[in-house]
Amino acid sequence: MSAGFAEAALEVLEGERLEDARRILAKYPNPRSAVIPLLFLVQSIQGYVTDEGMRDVARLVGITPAQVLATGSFYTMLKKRPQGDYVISICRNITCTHLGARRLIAEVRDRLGVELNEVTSDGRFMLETAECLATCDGAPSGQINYEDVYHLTTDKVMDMIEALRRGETVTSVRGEPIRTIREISYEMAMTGTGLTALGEATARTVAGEVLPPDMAPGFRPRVTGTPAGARPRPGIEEAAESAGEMGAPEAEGEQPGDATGGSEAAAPGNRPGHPGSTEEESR
Amino acid sequence: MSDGNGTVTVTINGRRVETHPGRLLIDVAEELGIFVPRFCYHPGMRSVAVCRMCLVHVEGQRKLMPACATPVSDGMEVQTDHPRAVDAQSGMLEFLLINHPLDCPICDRAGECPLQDQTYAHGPGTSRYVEPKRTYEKALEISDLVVLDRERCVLCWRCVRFADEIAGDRFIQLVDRGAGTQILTFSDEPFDSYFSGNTIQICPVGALTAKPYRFVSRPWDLKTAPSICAYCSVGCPISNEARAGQLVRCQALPNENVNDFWICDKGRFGYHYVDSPERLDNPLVRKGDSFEVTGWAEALRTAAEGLRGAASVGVIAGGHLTTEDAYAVQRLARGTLGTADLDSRIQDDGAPYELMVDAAGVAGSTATLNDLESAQTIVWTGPDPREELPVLFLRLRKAVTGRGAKLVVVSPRRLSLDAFATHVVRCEAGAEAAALEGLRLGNERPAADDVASADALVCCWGPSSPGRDETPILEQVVALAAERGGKVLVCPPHAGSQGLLDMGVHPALSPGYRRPETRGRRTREILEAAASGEIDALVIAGADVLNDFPDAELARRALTSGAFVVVSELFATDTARAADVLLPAAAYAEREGTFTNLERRLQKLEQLLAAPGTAREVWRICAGIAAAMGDDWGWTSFDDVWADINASVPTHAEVDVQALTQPHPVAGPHQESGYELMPNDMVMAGPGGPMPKGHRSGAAFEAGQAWPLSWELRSFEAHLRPGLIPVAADGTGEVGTLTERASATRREPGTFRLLSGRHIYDEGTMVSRSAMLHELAKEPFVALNAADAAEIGLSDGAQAVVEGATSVTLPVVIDDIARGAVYIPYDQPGLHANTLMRGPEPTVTVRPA
Repeated sequence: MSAGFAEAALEVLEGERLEDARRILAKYPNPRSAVIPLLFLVQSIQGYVTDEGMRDVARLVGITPAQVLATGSFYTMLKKRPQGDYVISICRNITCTHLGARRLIAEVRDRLGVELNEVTSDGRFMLETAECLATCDGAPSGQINYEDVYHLTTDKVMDMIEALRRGETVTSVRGEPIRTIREISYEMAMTGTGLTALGEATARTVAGEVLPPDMAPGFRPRVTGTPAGARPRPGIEEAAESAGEMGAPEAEGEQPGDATGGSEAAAPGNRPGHPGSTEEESR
Repeated sequence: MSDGNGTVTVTINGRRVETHPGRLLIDVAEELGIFVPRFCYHPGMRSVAVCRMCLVHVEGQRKLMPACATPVSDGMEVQTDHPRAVDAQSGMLEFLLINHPLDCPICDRAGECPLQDQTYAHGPGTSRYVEPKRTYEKALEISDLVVLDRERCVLCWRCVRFADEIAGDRFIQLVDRGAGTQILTFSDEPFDSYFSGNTIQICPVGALTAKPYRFVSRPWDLKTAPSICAYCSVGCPISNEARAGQLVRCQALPNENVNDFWICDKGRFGYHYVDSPERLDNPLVRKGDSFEVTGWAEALRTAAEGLRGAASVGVIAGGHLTTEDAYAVQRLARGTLGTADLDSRIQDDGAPYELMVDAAGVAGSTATLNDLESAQTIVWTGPDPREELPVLFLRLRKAVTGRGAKLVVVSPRRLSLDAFATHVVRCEAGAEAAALEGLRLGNERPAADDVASADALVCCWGPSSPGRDETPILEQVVALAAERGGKVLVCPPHAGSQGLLDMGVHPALSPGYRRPETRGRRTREILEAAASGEIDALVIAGADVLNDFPDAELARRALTSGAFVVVSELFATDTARAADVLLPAAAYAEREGTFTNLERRLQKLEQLLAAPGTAREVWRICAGIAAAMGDDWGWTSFDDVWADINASVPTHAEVDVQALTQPHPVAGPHQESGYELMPNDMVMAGPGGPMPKGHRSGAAFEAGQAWPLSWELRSFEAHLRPGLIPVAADGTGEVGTLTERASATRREPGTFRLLSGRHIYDEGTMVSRSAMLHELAKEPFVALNAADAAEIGLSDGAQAVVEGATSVTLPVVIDDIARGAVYIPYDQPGLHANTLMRGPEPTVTVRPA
């Protein structure tokens, strides 16, 4: 399928953002690889991934909107409904639950006056639950726009929300100022293009590692060089990955351990939603 | 680890079998008659092993293996009925049923449902799941034809894989993830695929259902008969299914030679015309300005008198007649009426099929559809196969995307094939022959290089646009194939077209591709002669010349010149209304017969329904007219016709037509779902008789007999209905001298060659009376090149006045089409494009409205 399209037909990715989209596309030999960063670009413009945005991505990449939807809907950091400026994710797994996460979630929800996954009336905040963020040492823990916040209480969460509401800077446990969904989506989109809002190499991981200039904070920090005194933290990649409620993907063609326990391994929903990734030679 | 012969020995459930390495365990087991349950595996598509239903025990493997993704290897020992495998299958079914609504009592699929059947055969009788089930909005209409129920879905991906791998229409996808994974289309982009109905048929549950068939029938109430689709010349085997004497469903039957497992939505949903209240049911004889219903005796007598009194008779037959009808029309014309003026080319008038005889000995294909898949290079010049020959489009797509064949498309306009073609040669309208010559002589590079380097070459040709003389094009195609040792696939338009050529309904061919003593008039000449009064009687069988012949005005003059006109038809078409005697014909589901497809393959239709009133087969009508004229052919049955064909048509002398009878789709009697297991292994007989006992995993079944699953899953059926391609004498392999090909076209701004072609859903006699499809027919438009449009001040979406023989205002579509040509669909609601055409090589002028 060719990527021939009329630019006039694009609704979201226009002007400078179309230039950005071109830079993203230029990173990959196969345009389809650009679907996720392009969806982040859409999210950076509209605050979430709209149908118009998915149509634009489909046009730019040369696939159908349904294929864009299939790919994008797999990733929970790409929201198909409005999510406000800040997404507060609170872990509900075992350690956090032992330390009161369920009550915490219920109280924050009531204080915000909205249901889970709904945006507050000022259109700025959304509360969601998260699965294990691999920060049990900070339990009950959570994230605001995917930046870790530890030892949460209802008051602490609400204080941070009120501070953000007033336009004050709130920092995560690693000292990063928490930025809006649009800002971090733009960085996610532009990672690797040499163009990010970050500019300087100031971002640090929890362990204090300095990230390469165009690497967004919190996004798969790969340790390329270890600053003196900093201890590389094994498993940090997994922690970043699971931030998006993502289960460990099943290996292709994996067999269940034994006949009686075969069910979970066989759940079709455990696989990513794009058929091209699973081709096996048939006959 | 194979032996010297390149085979491996595998033991399945204690039975040893030799087979080829690399084949899938599930297929090898099936050939041994050992059934492995499955949902996601489909023999027509690549394995994905996502449903985990086909797990079997392989000796030496710690884990169970999915039979659909495990290639056989030498010495492999497999137990499909190992306790661990049986337990896994049972567990898997319990798991799949957790969220399944179990609404079988209101589900169309119940009774022929693989989930239901396999739960009966392999699943637990009860569930431990007591929590609330996942729910979705029900009955989403994801297209005008397909309804989606996500609650029933078991996420086997078959529909998604079909749309991606087979049709290339990726509109239906797996969306979201985990327990929330669902099948869905994009918000405002429906599942608009010409092949969408196949997903309904391969859906192993009732998640995808057909809008026309929803709540219409229970499968055990259906009477079915195998048949052949009556639309295009691919000739896909189908199963006609009727409830209480009314056709309510058509499904694909598999034939590995023709359609694999697929049919198009026109073939699947275009059956409503058969039961249309507009069907003619009794003979009508003209009395002044109106018709009077008569009996057959009087009607035939009137026809015979009129024909006997005529000085000269012309005979025109339409493309949907069966081979038998074709033979009868030919015998009536050349034998009884003594005329050489007969033809079956209507919209394809000007298609020189007879050219093939010298070169190949047949007025048709030397290639088969399977040759496409072994071809290294395929050259296509002709109509858009996705619109006119949809399953051929699938076969071409498979050859290119699945088998790595190179495809060269020679066309003055964008075709659907361009999407995956290796080379597109965009030539001027009328310069196709020159472009093909370029391929032949090596000038048209780089496409010519792929043609020259191909050991196996197939050149496809079909009449590309009504009203054009295609002689130079076909000559070049034949010469190209001959010079490169390639084969030719000739693609006439309709289901009966090839049979009509084989049976000599052609002015220059008599039955069996022989030359007749006198060369008669072709369709255009017959109509001209009728218009001028030279021919004073016409016999028209199943042809709507007024709407199909590419010069509507000529057809109108021919029919209103005072000539005596006998028409046999399904409906009172515009042409039929001009008849003096109008004889009702039986539709394809109402008769026994054969269609000859574009590979010249004979395939048999079985009768399922009674024809309305006293309507009957065209061969019976022809024999009746002959008898009324005093020429009794002595035909009373289908076999009588074939006895005559065997005796008179050399190519068909050896054809045993009854041997072509397709095996019936195994319906009711062999289904399991109609039965209940009672205590002590007692069987509560359902509608069809006793259930095979001991059918737990691994139980043997006899192919076609006690298949333990619903009928659409039977891969072995693909070998059961091969049909027959009659052997013909070889040709000389040469084309003789080539016609002077047209030089470059002279272009005047605003004047264009008129290219046309049929679209899948059009105003044709049959589709327009199949309500569901008729609603999908696109409005007419005029497509032209951006530069041409700019030159005359038109842009996309503007209104243009198109003036040919008549004048019409149409919306403009800017498209990839050669300069100097416009494209207008042949027969869409509101415009019969043949009204614009006058004489051969039609042109039009275009200006802003």
